[in-house]
Amino acid sequence: MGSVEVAIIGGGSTGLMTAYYLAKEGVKSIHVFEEKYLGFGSTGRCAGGVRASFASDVHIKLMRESISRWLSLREEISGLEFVQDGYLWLLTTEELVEFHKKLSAYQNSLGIPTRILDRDEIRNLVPIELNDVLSALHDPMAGKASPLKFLWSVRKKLRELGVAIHEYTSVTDIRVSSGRARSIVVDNVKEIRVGEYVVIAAGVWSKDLLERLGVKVPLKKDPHHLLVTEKYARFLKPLVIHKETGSYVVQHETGNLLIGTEFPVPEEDTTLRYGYLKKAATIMSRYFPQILGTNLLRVWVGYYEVTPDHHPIVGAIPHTENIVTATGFSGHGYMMAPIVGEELKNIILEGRPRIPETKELRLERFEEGKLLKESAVFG
Amino acid sequence: MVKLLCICEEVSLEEVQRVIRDEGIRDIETLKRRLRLGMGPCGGRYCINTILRMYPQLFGDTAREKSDNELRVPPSRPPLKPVPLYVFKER
Repeated sequence: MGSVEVAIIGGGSTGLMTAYYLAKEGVKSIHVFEEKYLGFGSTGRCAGGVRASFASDVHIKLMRESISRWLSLREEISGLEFVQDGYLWLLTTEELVEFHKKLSAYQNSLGIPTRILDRDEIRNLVPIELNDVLSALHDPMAGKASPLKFLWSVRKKLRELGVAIHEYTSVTDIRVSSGRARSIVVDNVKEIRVGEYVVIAAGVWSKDLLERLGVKVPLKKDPHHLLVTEKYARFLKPLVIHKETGSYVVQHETGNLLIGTEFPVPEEDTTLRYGYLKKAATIMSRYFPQILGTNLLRVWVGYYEVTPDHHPIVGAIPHTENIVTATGFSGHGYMMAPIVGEELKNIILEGRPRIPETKELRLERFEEGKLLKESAVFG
Repeated sequence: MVKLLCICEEVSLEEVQRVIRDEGIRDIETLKRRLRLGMGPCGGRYCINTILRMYPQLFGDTAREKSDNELRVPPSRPPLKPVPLYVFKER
């Protein structure tokens, strides 16, 4: 491996999807470099929720496209799982109800069929103790995609397509001259020439690589906890969010329950907190007392890579011809990976993305002070 | 007779050998996430140890490629044993 055509840095959902869409177009010599094992960064730590019910035009339009890709990927890649069982946002205050009525109307205007459900309708959908729930926002278009099944099924597919995957191989430098990436350095010692493109899709670690190129990115490492229980009989189809506290529960096809909750900790602090377990168990069991008898198996912390406007950075690196990046997803990288991978493919092969909203995700917006707006970030 | 390597997730020795061979898996972390081996109630305390004992036999030559001399044992995440969620509920 003295030279490669496309070097993709980062073996998470974004890098793998970019490799997939490039390989589908017949691009040869695609190499994915992952510092640890695939999904080590954030993909393998996330809950696997997929939704288009956002509060910003850019997110909604991109996620609408991404969901249609998830539906195709399920057919194209053996073992990949995407279950369109919806999202349910429990609303417990008058203010939240009013806001979500407006939000739903806005989402409907962009083709996302969300609806406000009353208490009886909620009970028909999930086995819940309603307590203080006034109503809920239901998004039937949303769903869940097991991150672990995604990782192994895409890994297998890429190998069949001839993509080289280098696990436990760290890209430590990108060598640029006259605005063009000429080579990458792996494990500090080995230089590999790059014929066409370098893709930086290294999640929170993209920041270090970009800074080596002299590019400042406003990325913060925001640690979030998640827990998994043993497998239980499936009782919960939609991913359910308690909006007031940013808590959520999702049961995947395996039967394991994943429970997350907003539990602010200092940046980069990945210490496991008992307080998170208390909050997660206390809030979710108020509505689903069945979970009190379930056994906690594991708890871990993963990073959201957060930008000032909670929207990702996707596109070319300023003043370079052949380096693109996709990072800063602020907790939504996995669900967006299919459309972002396809758009990076479009940028690489056609010089521009196909969806107008992708252009708004350019890095320069932060320097220019043209931030995007989003108000539905949670958990 | 099926030889189960991971009892919790019902993963057979044959399946482990198959994915190592067919999918080019060369480390325990990837193997674990591929087959859910070690992700059940025992937290891997039995099957991961078995895998470690069988490491040269399972991974063979691929394990010796490049600098694969460290075994990369998956971290054990808390709790040590399954704990029911009611333990954490605030009254």
